[in-house]
Formats: sequence, structure tokens, C-alpha cells
Amino acid sequence: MRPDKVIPLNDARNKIHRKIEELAKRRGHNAAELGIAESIPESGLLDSPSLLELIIWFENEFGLEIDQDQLTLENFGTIDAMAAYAENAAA
Amino acid sequence: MPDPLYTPRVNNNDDSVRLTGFLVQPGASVKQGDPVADVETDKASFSVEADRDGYLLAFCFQVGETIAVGSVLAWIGSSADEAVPSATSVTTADTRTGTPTLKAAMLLSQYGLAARHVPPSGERLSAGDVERFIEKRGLAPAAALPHSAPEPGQKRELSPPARGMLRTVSWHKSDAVPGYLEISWDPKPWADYSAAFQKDNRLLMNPLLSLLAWRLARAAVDYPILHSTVFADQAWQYDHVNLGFTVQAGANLMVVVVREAEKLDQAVFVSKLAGLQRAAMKNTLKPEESSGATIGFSSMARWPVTRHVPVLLPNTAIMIAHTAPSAESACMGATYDHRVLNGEDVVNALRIITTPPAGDEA
Repeated sequence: MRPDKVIPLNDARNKIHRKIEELAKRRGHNAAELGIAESIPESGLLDSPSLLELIIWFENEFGLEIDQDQLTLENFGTIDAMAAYAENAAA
Repeated sequence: MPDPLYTPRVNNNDDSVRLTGFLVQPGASVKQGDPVADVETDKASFSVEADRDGYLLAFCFQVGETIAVGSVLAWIGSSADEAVPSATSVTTADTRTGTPTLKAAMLLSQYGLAARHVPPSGERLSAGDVERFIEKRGLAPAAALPHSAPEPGQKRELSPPARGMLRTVSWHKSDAVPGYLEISWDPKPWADYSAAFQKDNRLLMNPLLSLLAWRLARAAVDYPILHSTVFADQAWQYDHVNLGFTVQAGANLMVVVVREAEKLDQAVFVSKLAGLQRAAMKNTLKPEESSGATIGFSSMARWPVTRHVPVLLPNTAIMIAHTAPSAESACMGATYDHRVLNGEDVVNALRIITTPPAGDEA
């Protein structure tokens, strides 16, 4: 499903970063220093249920419906990859 | 005067049943013991039988309706043209119900009945009246209820997940004979196996728990007793491994069910389970995706507890309990139904689950 508006890359990155910070904080971690190209799963900031919550938020935030087979490290492993996915889906 | 045919109690925990079908038409001749209607609860289905010879005059409910146990399901008369009592006259009959004696009241409470369900033989409802009523319908005592009202407060409806949880813990308490045991294990081989699987399949999420659950499903294929139960005093072997997996979805603890898990390879199972977890968190699960488990898996690794003792899912024999207090230590336990499994069965199952599959087992 495509979103009905163009998503600026930097806006998307910032939103995703803020959401990761919020989810990490609930687990007692600080994600402020997480780089946009850093692996989210390998950072240890989010466990699997938190990652699922991040994906569900992502779908709602950017108006997307993501197939299960799209949930790969390439598409969602970093903030940059996620923002690019949202931008490409809107293109 | 026609006689009422009352709605029976199908099992101890359900105070209502769903009417699923009529087995005779109004006006048909029936003999005592003839099945006349089918009813069901979430746990069992049951045919209601005529309790006397005569003619089935009318049903009081439509198929699909939920009916309170003890209410009048149908009327049976001596001839096909007898008049069925109207709702007004039924109400009148109910109000004629005598005040129960103390012993009768205790029996009513024990069997989950109300005085209006039982016709009195005299001015007051006696223990003998209740005993005859119980014997005639083969009723079983209801689950224990609190004897006194709680402190003042407000009643509110249970949410669907809370109702599901209540059903689960009620079955665990009243039907199963639960035992629990656990083994310690070295989590490193599984952690390495899972990391390699994640890398090979380019997965976003750590698949460890899903792989452990898949291993349980495979163990159930080799040891079918793991996915069996006791039903109506008979051993019941399931045809398929429907794996129930607990998911914390917001404030609710839910169970998602991977059906026919024995047919799925690791990658398909992991993907399917991840999809169900997403659906649970989005509240878009279909009914068949959250019911019908024949075996269970639960993990509290997210919270570094050292042990948890889960309740059994209804009509299952084992619920695996995974914990991982640290990267170096882990505990694999199981709650099991002692009517079905013994300690040796469970230890063997736990040993299988805690060992990653060798090359050709995957």
C-alpha cells in the first residue's frame, strides 16, 4: 500500500529515531546515540517484541502495509534503511 | 400439562450454552432418551435428550442463541396438540417456586442452580426436590464460587482476552492435574544456531523463541502423547500439532496458534509465527488464529525472571516455560497434565527442545 504523500527523508529519520528512543527508554536503554546507519537489532536497544512494535508504528505513521517477507535486515535493519523504505514506497 | 425440558449444564465452568441445532421438529413424537437438540460450549458439544415419552411441542429458543443453564429449552406434552404455556404462564409458574429450605439452598448453590429452575413438590422447595432434579438430569456440581459477596465496588464486563484467560485458568484448575518440572541448560548452542539462522535468512528479529517452539512441534510428531489430552474420560490424540504461543499484546496476554505446525519447515514456521504476533499486536487475529491449540509454548525471557510456572491451555497436556535470566544461564520448564504425561515424558521433551536440531532434522 502506498502512502498518499511524499515523505522527506530527514523527517522520516527523525521520527524513526524518536520512536526508537521511546521504545528503548521503556527497556531502560538510551538510544540517543544510535547512528542512522547502525544496526538496530545488533544495538541491543530493542528486543523482538519492541521491534515488532516499531514496525507496527512505522506502518501506521507512514500509511504502509508491509508484507511479512519484507521484514528483512536490508529494509528495516537501520534508521536509514527504514526511512529509505518509506520514501521509496511513497515514490 | 406439558413438562419443561431444561437446558443442561454441559461442564462445570459454563453457565450458558449455545444452541447449535434441532434434531426433531415441533410436533414430533419422542421417547425418553431421544436426542432433541444439540448445544455446545467452547469446550464441548452435547445432545439434549427428551426426559420423558411424549410429543415435542415447541422450542423456546432459536439456533445460535446463547441459553442460560437451567432455563426451559423446550416443552414436551402428552399429545401433539397440547397448548404450550405462554411466557406469562411460565413466569407465573416460576413465581410459584417455593422458598428453598436451608439444605435445598446449599444444594442449589453447590450445583450452580437457582430456586426457579427446580419445581417444588410442596409449599417450600426441599432438598429432596433438588436431589431428584439433579439425578434426573445427571448434573455435576458447579465449580466452587465465593460464598460471600466481595466488598462494595462496581461490576464491569470482562474484555474478550480476559474472558479467554478466565476460561484457561478455570480449565487448568478444574480439569487438569497440573505438575511442573524444569531443567537447566546451556543456552549458547541454541543462541549460536539462532544467530546463524537469522543471518542466513536476513531476518530482522531474533528467531530463537520461534525456533524453540518449532522444535517443540517436531518433538510432538515423534512423541504424539505430547499433543494429546483427556476428554470425557477417554484419551484423546490430536490429528495435528496446533502450537499455541503466548504473546504480550499491549496490556493483554494472548495466545496465537500456528495450525498444523508439523507440516511447516523452520523458515515457514518462523515467518508464520511472526505474522501472527504482528496480528495479535494489531488486534487483527482471526478466531482460528487464537484458538484450538493442542500444545503450548510460553517465554518470559523478555523479563529476566528466573522461573515461571504457566497455566496449561485448555485441552492440552504441556505448556513449555522458557526463561533466560542472563545470556549465560537459562531454565526450561514445563507445566504438564499429570493425567496424560509423567515426569519422564516431560524431561525427555525438555531435553529435545533444549538441543538444537542436527543437520537433517531441520
